[in-house]
Amino acid sequence: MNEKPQHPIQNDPDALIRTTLKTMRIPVDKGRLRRAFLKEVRSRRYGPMVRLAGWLSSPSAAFAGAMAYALLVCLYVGNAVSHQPLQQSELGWYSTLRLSLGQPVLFENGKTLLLEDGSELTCLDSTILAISFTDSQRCIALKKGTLDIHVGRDLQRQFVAVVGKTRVIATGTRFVVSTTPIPREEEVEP
Amino acid sequence: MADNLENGLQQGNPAAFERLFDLYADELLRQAYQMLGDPTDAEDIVQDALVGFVDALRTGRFHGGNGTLYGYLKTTVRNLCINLIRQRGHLHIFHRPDCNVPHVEIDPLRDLPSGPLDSWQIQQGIERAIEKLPAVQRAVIVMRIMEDLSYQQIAHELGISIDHVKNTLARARKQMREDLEPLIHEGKLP
Repeated sequence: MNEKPQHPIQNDPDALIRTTLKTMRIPVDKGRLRRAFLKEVRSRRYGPMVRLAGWLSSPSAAFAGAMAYALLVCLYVGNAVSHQPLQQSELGWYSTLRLSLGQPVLFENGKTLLLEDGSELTCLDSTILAISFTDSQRCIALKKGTLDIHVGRDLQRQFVAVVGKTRVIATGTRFVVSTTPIPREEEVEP
Repeated sequence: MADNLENGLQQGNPAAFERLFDLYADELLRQAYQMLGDPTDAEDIVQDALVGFVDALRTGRFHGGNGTLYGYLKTTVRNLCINLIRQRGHLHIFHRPDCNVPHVEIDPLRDLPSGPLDSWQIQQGIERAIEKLPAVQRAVIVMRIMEDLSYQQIAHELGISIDHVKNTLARARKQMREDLEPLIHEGKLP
């Protein structure tokens, strides 16, 4: 082993840079910095709001928030599922209403809705309704408002309008249902 | 020990503030000065890091973290240094994607003679070479050599690509080597 003794830096190219950085003189007035630091931290006061803000950013607050959120999601999902009247597979939904599966639809005064069986629903008021068409019946539940219903011809399925606890089974071709009493001006011709 | 210190700080015990400073200020000042090369900047950053830590602890925003207190403070100082470099717009000046410096790690000290120059002189030369580096190159050298961070970690810290880090490091080493050229060939300090 007659090799020339290697310079220590050749084993680790960065060693001397490291040593230099480690031993470099730092022209800082540490005493002044120490006094400034102590003065600053001693003068600090923390009010209740600051402490509250601190707690809000803590893991325990994050955990509490996450639990509350999870609970809300559970409640919401439970609610949505329990209020879902029918499964989609049982329904013959009119295509444009597919988004409102089992849920009330809101449409404005004067709007007309055409259903798949040719029925026409005209809103005479701000109206909320749910529509459920199955193989055996056509059902419209009026939650709010007034609806002029022009029933389409379908002998296989009866047309039922539900208002509150009242079920109206269509025998004619056209009738009006409302959640508010309609003022009776004169006797309606049969 | 760290727990006692943290408790003391939380209660606003003046002795704990002094202890915090005396324990960590030296190393943090060195770290900030290595990264930035400016004593005033280093002082400001250490002051901000320590005061910020005390604030976080006393308002309940500091929740232990994963590592040691020193590790936490070191990371804080590094982030503050990077922020400063970024604020001053030094981060992207030296990156030109079209200009590809090969990613060969040139050892700036490869041919440094071990005989005629003593290590103090060599260190002086290196110190000057480091001082001449642009801010971002200096920071990358320090993170790589002093803190042993991987390319990926450095890229993540600076918010730049790994190639950019390699480029910057290669450029820094190249420039240091050029600065040390006279020292290597003529045994003279630059």
